[in-house]
Amino acid sequence: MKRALLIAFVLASAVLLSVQAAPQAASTEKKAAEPAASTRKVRPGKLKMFSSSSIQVLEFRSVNVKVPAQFEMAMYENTIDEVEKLGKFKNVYRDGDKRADADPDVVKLRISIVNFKEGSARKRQVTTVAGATSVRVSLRLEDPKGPALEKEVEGAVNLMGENLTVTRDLAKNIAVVVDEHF
Amino acid sequence: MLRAIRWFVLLYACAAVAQTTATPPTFHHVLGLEGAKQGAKGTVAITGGALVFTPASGAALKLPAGKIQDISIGNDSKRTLSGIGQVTMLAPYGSGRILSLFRQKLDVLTVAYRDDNGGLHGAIFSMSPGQAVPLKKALLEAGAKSSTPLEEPKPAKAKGSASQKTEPAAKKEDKQ
Repeated sequence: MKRALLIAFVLASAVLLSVQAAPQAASTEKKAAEPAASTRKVRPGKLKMFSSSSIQVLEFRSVNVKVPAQFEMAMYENTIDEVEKLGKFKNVYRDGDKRADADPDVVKLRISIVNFKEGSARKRQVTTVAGATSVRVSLRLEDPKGPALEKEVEGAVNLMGENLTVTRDLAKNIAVVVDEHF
Repeated sequence: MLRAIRWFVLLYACAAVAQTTATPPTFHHVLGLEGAKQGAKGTVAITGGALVFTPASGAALKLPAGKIQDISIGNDSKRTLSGIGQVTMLAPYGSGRILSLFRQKLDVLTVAYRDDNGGLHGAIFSMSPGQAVPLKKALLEAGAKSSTPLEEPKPAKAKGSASQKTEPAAKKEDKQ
């Protein structure tokens, strides 16, 4: 009986896999047929808008949202950490750093916290579906001589980790946006 | 069925033992203090008008109170059996999730300070409940600034902390 069930399960999963694989194969064939069309398009995310060698990360501000101080500071520190890890900048200045005023080639990274929901690590670990912690910020990259970019970025911890982990996730996503535009 | 009950009882006993024995008087440096490793354990003292963090391994780090722009106190929690981590999720019959119910409450002290160039830093420390308020008070007396008034300690429910709350801060630091 057990063997029959096992065989039935294997057969069912094989059928499911083949059904899923069919459209994927079709899409890869399509992509291969139109290489010129895809290369011609410029992905907006990959557009290099800035060429500065220095960046200044300003203090996070919350707009009509109450955010615990530890989260605000952890977001700020982790963002600096992640931007430094990119290795694209000669200088990564902090908020209020006097050296940034003297540097003519600095892009400023302003971040406002738009939405914040502190979940519960206990709920996440017990239920695996409830208790998520999430944050949404609006970031603005400003070049005093040139363009500015505004974008919304999110961070979340849905299953594993403590609440403060959300700040690391957000910082990584911010670093991705910075990386795409420099 | 009997096996499942045995697992639940075993894990419950483990968690209960861990909760009663784990009363660390140490401070955890979560992040932000220049020169200190993230997650480093150590002691914090206010000496000579500065916050001194002495990690379990390594040299002491000083942060002059005059450089501190803001201090705030928050709450957090961590798993009681934090050392085992995600391995507990593999325990049979879903009993690993029982362990997730056992969490230890923590005080979180966030210190915003400026370095010599004026750059803003944020150092975050976590500690046993009731330890953050005396620390903040001592820092304010040493010359640190704070945008929020000194909070009164909230009634902490963590086990083993009832006797600690009544002790003066200095005594607690001596214990470490």
